[in-house]
Amino acid sequence: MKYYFLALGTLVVVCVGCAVDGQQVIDKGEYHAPPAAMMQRPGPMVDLPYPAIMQPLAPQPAEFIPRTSQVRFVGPAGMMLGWQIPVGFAENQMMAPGRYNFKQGATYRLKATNVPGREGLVLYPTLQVYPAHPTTDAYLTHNSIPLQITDEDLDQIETNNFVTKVIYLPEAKFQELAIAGVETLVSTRLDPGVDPVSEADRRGTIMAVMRIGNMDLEMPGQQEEMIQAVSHEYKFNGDNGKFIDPMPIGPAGPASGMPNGFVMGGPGGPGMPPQNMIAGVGGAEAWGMPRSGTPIGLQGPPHLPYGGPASLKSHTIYNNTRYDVGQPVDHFVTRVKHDPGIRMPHPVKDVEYTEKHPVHGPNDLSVPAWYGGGPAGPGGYGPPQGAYCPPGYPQGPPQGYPQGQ
Amino acid sequence: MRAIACLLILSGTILSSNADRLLAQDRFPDQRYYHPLNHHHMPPGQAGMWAGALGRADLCYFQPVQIRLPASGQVTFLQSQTQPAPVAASPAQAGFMVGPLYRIKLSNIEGYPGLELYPTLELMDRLHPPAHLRQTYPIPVDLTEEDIEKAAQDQLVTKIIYIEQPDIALPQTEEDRIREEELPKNRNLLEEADLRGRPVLILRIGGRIPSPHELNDPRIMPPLPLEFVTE
Repeated sequence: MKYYFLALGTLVVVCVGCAVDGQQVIDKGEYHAPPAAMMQRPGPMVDLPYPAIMQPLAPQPAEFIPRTSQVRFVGPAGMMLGWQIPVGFAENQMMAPGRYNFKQGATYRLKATNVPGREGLVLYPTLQVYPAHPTTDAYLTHNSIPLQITDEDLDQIETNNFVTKVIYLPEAKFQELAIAGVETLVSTRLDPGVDPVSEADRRGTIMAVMRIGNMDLEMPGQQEEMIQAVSHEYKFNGDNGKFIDPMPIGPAGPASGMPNGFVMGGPGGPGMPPQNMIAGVGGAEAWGMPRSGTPIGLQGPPHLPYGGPASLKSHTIYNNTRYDVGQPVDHFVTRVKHDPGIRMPHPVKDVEYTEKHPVHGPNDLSVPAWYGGGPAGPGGYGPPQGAYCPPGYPQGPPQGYPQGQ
Repeated sequence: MRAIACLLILSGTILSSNADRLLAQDRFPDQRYYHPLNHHHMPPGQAGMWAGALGRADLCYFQPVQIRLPASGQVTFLQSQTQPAPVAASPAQAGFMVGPLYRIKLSNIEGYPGLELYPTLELMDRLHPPAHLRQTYPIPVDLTEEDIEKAAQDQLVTKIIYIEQPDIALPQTEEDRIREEELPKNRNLLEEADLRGRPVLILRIGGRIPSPHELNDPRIMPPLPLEFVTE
């Protein structure tokens, strides 16, 4: 019999010993909050969107504003650049080397003329400016994107080849140098069949793509096919001091057939660049708001795979979390006692008051020393001692903080 | 009965060993709740915003910061369009708030004629000197010739300034300029600064010249004042 109990005990220890570590048995009186990520954004129906029972605790992303990338045309030096506008091409808008701020998330059609050593050569490259990504935001805020058309590129173009140049910021974890620098991939230097855009995307984050061929977009008598025809035309030429911003040709603007290689929000109107949507900012749906279809036939997050027929019959989630949050109370009593009790002078019922006024002569008045002469009041540099306090903030620094010097 | 006693002792041993293992805490920052911001994947201003959300910002305190160029030069402290931008010669000092992203302009740099740079800086924390020594001990931001050359070549230089932790500080006398350590790019500077002490400031410098439109960017030009004390 005793061997039976010994075997039973051993079996229990073997089966339960690893699963029970004592925390389930011993109540240490500890409290456990949800993970930090869950505290920051508890999710739909708890924080925003409405109905919300609490505000999101994490700070909101930067304000939604149109962003630009500064493209620096390094060379060839002396090359003139223009770009497509709603009524044709604006000529000679800048000279290389030079810089221009292009709105992000749009494709532009440029016009390169006066290429040194290539008389009569006119190129119409497209420039695809990618939206800022968290990995490239700091770089694009502080740096320009270098873009250079080399002699080798020009040779390739003149021999009827199509050149794609991709400028990207390499992934930091694969870098060893402390300084962030960009790299350029050129289609003509890659093995046949290798897509430079995919390759650059694999190595880092793309900031701009330039595609150049030798197609002439302004052949006499055939402009209607290339560019949207208009009833009247203005000439914009930088040589005459007339400058105009470039018009995005893709995905907004005239049909250009240019690939739209980035996920962007739709344009606000004709000729407007698309928007770099951030969840919850600038009218974009907040995180967690389902809009698109999913394989189960219901609306769901857009990252679920597309394209398949509805196949899922059941989707069950069991929550095995132990909950001890108590029951709601129906009566709540608070007893407060001051110890020692409150004892104050009894109300005054008889006051005798005499007021004596000072007598000043001419030029005897002055302002208090602490006033300092500046404009007082909220938002001003008034008291105390010049410390700035914005409107609505309690006047004067909090106790313990140093005052203005 | 002897078997039951044996079972209880064995279980107790398992319970106590598990409890010991659970109580042992990993050393900072290896603990599992440590998730530092990564400067590689972080837009400018994010660390400042988080510092503000953590309650480190004080709307009545300006943290003095001193910008020191390798040689002579001019520092312009850009602020909202309604406020004139103060200009001072290097070393130039001004008070910034914890949280917002500020942009300054460096010009007339000796040895770099015509070069203008627009670095940004954001404060994540502040110093706590005695009140009367606040302006005497600013946060020093040293820019070397190498930094300026790299920025002029359109490379992004990121610097994080931290207050070193006393028990792991380098036992070496500090010279005119604060000690600088260059780390490989694949390392997270914020995590490295956390390891060494308390990060207080991020400076980013590159070669981009912002347009007037960008200078109105509310992320770059916060409608917050800075404190500029003239000598």
